[in-house]
Amino acid sequence: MISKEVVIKNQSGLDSKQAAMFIQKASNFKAGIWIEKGERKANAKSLLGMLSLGISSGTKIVLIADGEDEQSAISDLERYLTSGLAEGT
Amino acid sequence: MAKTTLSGTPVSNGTGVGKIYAFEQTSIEINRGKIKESLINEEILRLDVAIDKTLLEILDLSNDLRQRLEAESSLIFEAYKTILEDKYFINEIKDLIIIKKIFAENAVDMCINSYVSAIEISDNAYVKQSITDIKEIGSRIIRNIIGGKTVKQNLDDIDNKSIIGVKCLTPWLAAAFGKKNVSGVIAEEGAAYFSHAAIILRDLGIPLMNKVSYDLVMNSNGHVAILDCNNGNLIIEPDKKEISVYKDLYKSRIFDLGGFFRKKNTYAETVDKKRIVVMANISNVDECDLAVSNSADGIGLVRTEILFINSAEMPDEKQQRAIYSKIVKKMKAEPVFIRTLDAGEDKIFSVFTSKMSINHKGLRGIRFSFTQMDVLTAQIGAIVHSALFGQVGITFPMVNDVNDILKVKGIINDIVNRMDDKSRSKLNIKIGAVIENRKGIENIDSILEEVDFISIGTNDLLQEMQGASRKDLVESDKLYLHPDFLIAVKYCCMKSHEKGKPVSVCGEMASDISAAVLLIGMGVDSLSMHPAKITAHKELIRKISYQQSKEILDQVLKMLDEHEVSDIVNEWLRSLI
Repeated sequence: MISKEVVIKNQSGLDSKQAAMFIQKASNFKAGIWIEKGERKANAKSLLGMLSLGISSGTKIVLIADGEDEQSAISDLERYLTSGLAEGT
Repeated sequence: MAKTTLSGTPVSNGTGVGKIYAFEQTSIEINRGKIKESLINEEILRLDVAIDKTLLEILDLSNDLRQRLEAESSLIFEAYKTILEDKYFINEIKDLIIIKKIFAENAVDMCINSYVSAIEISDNAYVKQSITDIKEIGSRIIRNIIGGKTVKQNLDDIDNKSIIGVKCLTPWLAAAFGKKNVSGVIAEEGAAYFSHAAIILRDLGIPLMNKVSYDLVMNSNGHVAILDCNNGNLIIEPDKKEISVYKDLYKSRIFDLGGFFRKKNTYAETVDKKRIVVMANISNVDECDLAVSNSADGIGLVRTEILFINSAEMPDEKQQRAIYSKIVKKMKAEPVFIRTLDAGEDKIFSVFTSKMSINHKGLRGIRFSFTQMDVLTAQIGAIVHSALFGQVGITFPMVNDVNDILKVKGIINDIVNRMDDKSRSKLNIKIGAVIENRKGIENIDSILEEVDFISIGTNDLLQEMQGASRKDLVESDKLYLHPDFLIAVKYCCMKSHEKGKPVSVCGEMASDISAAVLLIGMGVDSLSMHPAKITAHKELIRKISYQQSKEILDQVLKMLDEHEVSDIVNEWLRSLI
């Protein structure tokens, strides 16, 4: 299992649209993937899970992956979260 | 009940007249009791079935509305689907059933509530907007588990003359009301300007007003009302005069055959908010693209006789079906009006000269087609089938009396009866008569009883009335501006509107701006012309007032000839530009 700290920078954070796109990316990996925000941890392949974290702009989160492709999962998803999220709603 | 006016925040423009229908959102009794170990599997099955059912309901709504919504607005359905297909979410519910030994609906409720409260404490305002949607999904699933009144059943009493009052509007309800093409929607909450519900109804062109107390609406359940979202008023029990003023402004919506005419930003409305539908006349499939690029509100006339003019022989039903369907598909959400073969003496048919018998008796329009029943039946069959792909109106040229219509309706019914149930339920075809001779005008009352709309064929009518051959008419003559002719056209409009049926004009008269403004003054709902002229017409419509065009019409009807009429109209038009 590996993990990585990421700061979300786009303006709307993980709103429903961004979250929906993110879970699609995450679902491409075999590894189990989670996002931790403070004390809450949610499955990164679940839209409700992602929404329930209410990740806003500027939030620090921990990306966690566990499984055979965990390495590429972390690096791909980190890149997506730091530079792939769209601006605004 | 005395006349009352309620105000609110309008979030989707337009006006609607109808009966208030207070839409009750019954709270659901959730059984919080425990279940026996042996019933756990049964509860899980109930959950799975309900989730599938909910998913199907969404697919149903999104399929029906897809063509009418902007791509962005359809995303809400994707989000609903994603949640219903979220196996982590569903497994959580199942775990609750197994571990806590509770009923499926209770597990769904608990699970949804835990997500909602987590989102409520978060500081992301964008995510908070999704709370309504999540709650909605929860309650849909629960309703489907319990099998009580689903939205579908609740919606049975609603029709396109209803103004729906609701306590909390959700995108789901907005879509369901939209599918029913209601006259308007009033909500106490859930309909902020940027809410999905508001976006959906704006896309569909259905007026929506937010922040109106549901209790007050409930008190006026069943009463006639005007929803005026241009001014933010709900007028309950208005007087007759008020209704007629609004109905007048509202007529163009009656024409829209189910709401498909209303394309955002591209439609043309007079300064006093009367919508005029501006469509394209086409003679071949490629002209569809021209119509689309000129923002046509639809195809007002497909001249089928010209469509096949270069064919060596008349295409059979299958070939025609392919061509009409192509046009209908190209126009996507916009309606297409297809006129059956219009055989007149001035139209040459290479196709027919060889195959069809010669037009001995000088029969015209649909009467001539009746002498070629196999050709007519094949064409009607092809047109009816093209209506499976969109909004189609079928029009019949030079209808003389109601028997012409009854005859073609018989043919249409035979075709429809041979379709399977599924196709039949999808079919949305409207039937119209082209009124273009004296006989047609004389019999207009009985014809109107049997059609959904009329189209006035100004070219042929003019030819008959003036005794002039159409070939001799040059544009500068503008005989259609003659007061006698205007009175005849106005008479047709009045008769049609008395029966609540819309009127369109597709001839040259509609494409001449000075005549078009007079047609607007008569209350003509739709003008159809060459695609290239559409933009200029729409620009003009946005500058004029319906009220004023009526006044100008009254004025010109007192004139002596077309020159005087032309002078008055042109002077008015110059003052506008």
